[in-house]
Amino acid sequence: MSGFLTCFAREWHLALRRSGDLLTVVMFFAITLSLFPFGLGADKALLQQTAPAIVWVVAMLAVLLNLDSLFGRDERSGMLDQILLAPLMSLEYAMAKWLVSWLLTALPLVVMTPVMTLLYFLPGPQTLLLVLSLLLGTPSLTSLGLLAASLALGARKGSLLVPLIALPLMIPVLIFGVGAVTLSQQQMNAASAWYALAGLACLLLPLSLGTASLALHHNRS
Amino acid sequence: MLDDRPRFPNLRHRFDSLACMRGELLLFRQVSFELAAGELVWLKGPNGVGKSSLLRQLAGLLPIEDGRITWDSPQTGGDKSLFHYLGHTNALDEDLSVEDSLSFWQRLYRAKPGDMARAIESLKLSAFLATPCRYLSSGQRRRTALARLLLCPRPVWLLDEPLVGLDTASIAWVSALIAEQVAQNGSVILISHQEAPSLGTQARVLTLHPSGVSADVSAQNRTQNSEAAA
Repeated sequence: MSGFLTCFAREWHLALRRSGDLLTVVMFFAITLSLFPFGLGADKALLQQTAPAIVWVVAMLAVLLNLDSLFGRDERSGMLDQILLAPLMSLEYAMAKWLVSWLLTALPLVVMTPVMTLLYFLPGPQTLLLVLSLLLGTPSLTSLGLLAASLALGARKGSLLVPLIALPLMIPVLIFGVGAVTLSQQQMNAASAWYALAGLACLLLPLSLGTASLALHHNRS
Repeated sequence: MLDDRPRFPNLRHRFDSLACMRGELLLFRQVSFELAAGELVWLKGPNGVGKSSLLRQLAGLLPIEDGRITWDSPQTGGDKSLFHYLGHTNALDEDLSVEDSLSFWQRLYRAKPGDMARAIESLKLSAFLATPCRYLSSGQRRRTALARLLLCPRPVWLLDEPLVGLDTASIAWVSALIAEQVAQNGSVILISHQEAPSLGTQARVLTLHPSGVSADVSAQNRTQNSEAAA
């Protein structure tokens, strides 16, 4: 546990020192989301209808932006070797990475969503639903991103490989995330979608952390 | 300086007929040697023969194609708490200060504050403790990386070119630290293309070639003579 806290403190400090990277993600999210209303035109009904899917897809892409450096930077600096040799479980290291990545990359996107949905004329209750679905769904996105980053480690074109691994795996999360919002919008029974979203988060977190900590050991040649 | 530090137990590590493949290429095979307590092994050989790969194999960072690594490990912590590994890279976070980097390792190794102070003093880091690692010169980076070895005493040091980028004075300090580790009954495997005159005399030189290691006979005689004299 103390290993986790030590790693968490390091990741946290490093992430805040590299605040430019974090800002890039937030700016990408804001700018991309503001492009769609220009392209789609001021059709209020169309914007309201497409908003959940657009916000979800852009959030998925934004989460992928910094994944290359998640383990890549530690690998290039030699830090990863030393972490693997330290009296520390690689699971604790992966957990710290996950938590900092979710708190500082995914959570700001969730927080920004109510502002961005103003451009889509999305009413308050529906914005709340969208925020809730992102709150439940982004942990899964971070998990899958971490998984992909650990598997692509050591590959020569790692930065291209990460989205190729992560995006297809994110499709179920996208389906249930958008489904939960649109079904609730249409006053239909959305409980199963919400449960599926929560279930995916519970399933993917331990699965990705376990796989990532194994992959870190195996990609060392 | 020596007395307050623990003396390491008499360990004897064995490495039997190790082989290493890099891609399709067989770098070396049938590499066998022993590493005893209080011994400095200087691994030599031309570029590309696989010295660094051998050291990474010993550290467990590279799979061994064949053979057996037997670390003599008395404590329950396992192999990982037996040795320190210093690779080509310095394992420093560019955005953290020297002090923050060291205290990260201090907490992971659960090192005593005394060891931290000793590490800073031995490698003369106090002048740039608050400097972020990205602004350090390559010699200063190497010294900071070396300080990690002193944060927690371990019987074996695996050092890959520790003297790269160091000035003459620093080479002398680092050589003294390696000699001290050996004097504490610890063991060191050293790869270095740079000459460290003070270490040359006490080292057992092993030359790595594709079909094994061979001992430098004259150097071995020297150690045997000095053991006989002791």
